[in-house]
Amino acid sequence: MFHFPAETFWLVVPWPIIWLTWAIIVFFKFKRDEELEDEYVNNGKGDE
Amino acid sequence: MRVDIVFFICYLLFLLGIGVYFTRKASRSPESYLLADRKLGPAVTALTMQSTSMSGFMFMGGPALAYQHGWYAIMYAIGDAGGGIVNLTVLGKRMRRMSQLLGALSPIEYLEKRFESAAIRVVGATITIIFLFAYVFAQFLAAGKTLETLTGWKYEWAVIIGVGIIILYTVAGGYLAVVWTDFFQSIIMLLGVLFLVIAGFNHVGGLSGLNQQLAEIDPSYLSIWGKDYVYYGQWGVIIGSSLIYMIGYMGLPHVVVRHMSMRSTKTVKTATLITAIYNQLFTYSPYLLGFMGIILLPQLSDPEMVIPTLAYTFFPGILSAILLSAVMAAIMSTADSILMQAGTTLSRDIYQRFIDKKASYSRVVLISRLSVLLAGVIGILVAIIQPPRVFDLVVFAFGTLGNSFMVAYIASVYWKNANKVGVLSSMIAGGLSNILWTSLNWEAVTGIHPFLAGLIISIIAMLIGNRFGTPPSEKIQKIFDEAKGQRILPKNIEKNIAKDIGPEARTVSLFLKQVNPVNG
Repeated sequence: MFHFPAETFWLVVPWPIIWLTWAIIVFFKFKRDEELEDEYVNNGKGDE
Repeated sequence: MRVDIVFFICYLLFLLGIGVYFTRKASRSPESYLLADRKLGPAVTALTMQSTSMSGFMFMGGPALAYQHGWYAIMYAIGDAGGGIVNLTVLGKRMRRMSQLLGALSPIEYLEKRFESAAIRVVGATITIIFLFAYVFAQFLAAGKTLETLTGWKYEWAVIIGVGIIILYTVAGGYLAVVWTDFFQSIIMLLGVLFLVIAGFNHVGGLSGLNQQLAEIDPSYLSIWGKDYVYYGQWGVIIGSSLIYMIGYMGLPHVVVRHMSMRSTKTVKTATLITAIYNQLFTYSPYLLGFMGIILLPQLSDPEMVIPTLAYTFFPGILSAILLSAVMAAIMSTADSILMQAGTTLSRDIYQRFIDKKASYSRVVLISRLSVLLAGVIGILVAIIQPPRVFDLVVFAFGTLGNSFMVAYIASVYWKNANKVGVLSSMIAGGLSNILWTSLNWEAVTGIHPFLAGLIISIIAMLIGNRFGTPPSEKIQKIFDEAKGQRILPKNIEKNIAKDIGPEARTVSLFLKQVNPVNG
């Protein structure tokens, strides 16, 4: 594809997709962590 | 006057305006001047981190490498495209929390307080001052040469005008001016390079046309092993080329300070996403232009000028006007951050730490401003006089800083029992090995990139050295746990409670939190 040799294609082309996927996963993971943390803080305050 | 010069002068005045705008706000306290009150949002954090990380190398050295070696050079871009994402994911949240808990305003002060050792501050400040100065001299020199080549100004005047503006807005507006100018500069960098790539692809027939023509000139341009397969089978070189920018930024004090200035840990997630999108659009483009240069400019005498020559030869007018500002933006956005960091190290890590511990807020801000001014003036003089020995240091600057500090910063937030002996050993061994590997050209003998060698040696030094030191104090261990983020129960148990047992179990876990909180 794109006239790349196979080796160059597989070592180069996937990287932008890998980085974007990483960032999207991190976004949702951190979002979930924050929601849990907020929940605990709020619950904790409510108990006090 | 030429349109590109008019555009560039307006751009300089705009940057100066930002510096003036933030003058009063920056003067409120040392935290305002040095860290923008730790109130930066995700977009500014992401873009200042990227424009700081990516220097004039992106418009000159990188494309020159692409012009000389073909697709091998893209290995650097691959690392660069992920550098900010890795940096924010690994260090972002924990370093933001810990730096505030420790009350640290500079990345070197952070290391001293985390590892409870003045020696770390002395060694860290020494390495920072030597190599950040070398780094900033290189940026000033690049600024002068670029302006001289593209505008026809005399070199000395080009340095004084280009660098003088950086110094003025940094002295006036401090860190706030630096990050906000970086924000706008990153946008100019992206626009400049994207317009050029789109126009360039029209000339060469898209990516397929580019590769087809490269193969006709020399098929080795399409391999990842360099022109004439010069790096064939040398995985140590290929991996090192990617790693240096993929993880190396975690060792640069002027980059990691961005973690300390975020508004909160919540800033990290959006900043990571913005960084990812920006990097995928930006980092590959200068290298693609280098490949286009092989086809469109076969007789080019100075490969470092491939992008400006492409712009001025094939796309004169507004595109070349944007490009001049884009090249200068890349240089200036890195130079101002380094200058700011050098000033911070002089004022906070040397003056306030060792000379006048009880200095008032206003005095610290004044000293910080004078330090930035002093660093800038020395930089201008060195860039104009160009003493021969000083520029020998430039070759080591990035790798030495990365190898000296990267392991220390990662250990500070991921290894509770990491101690001062381990960190000092890793800083000294990592920095020294990079210098030796580069200066004695051990890469040719071993097939291992200097950065990869320095990284391995600094990790080994950390592991060995740590066996000889005493564990951190109870206070630091408590701060470490807090910076990790408190959880009620270890994560896997918590997850199962939430999923399987339901809200009743959550009440039990909240009760446990009050009785015996567990961090994990």
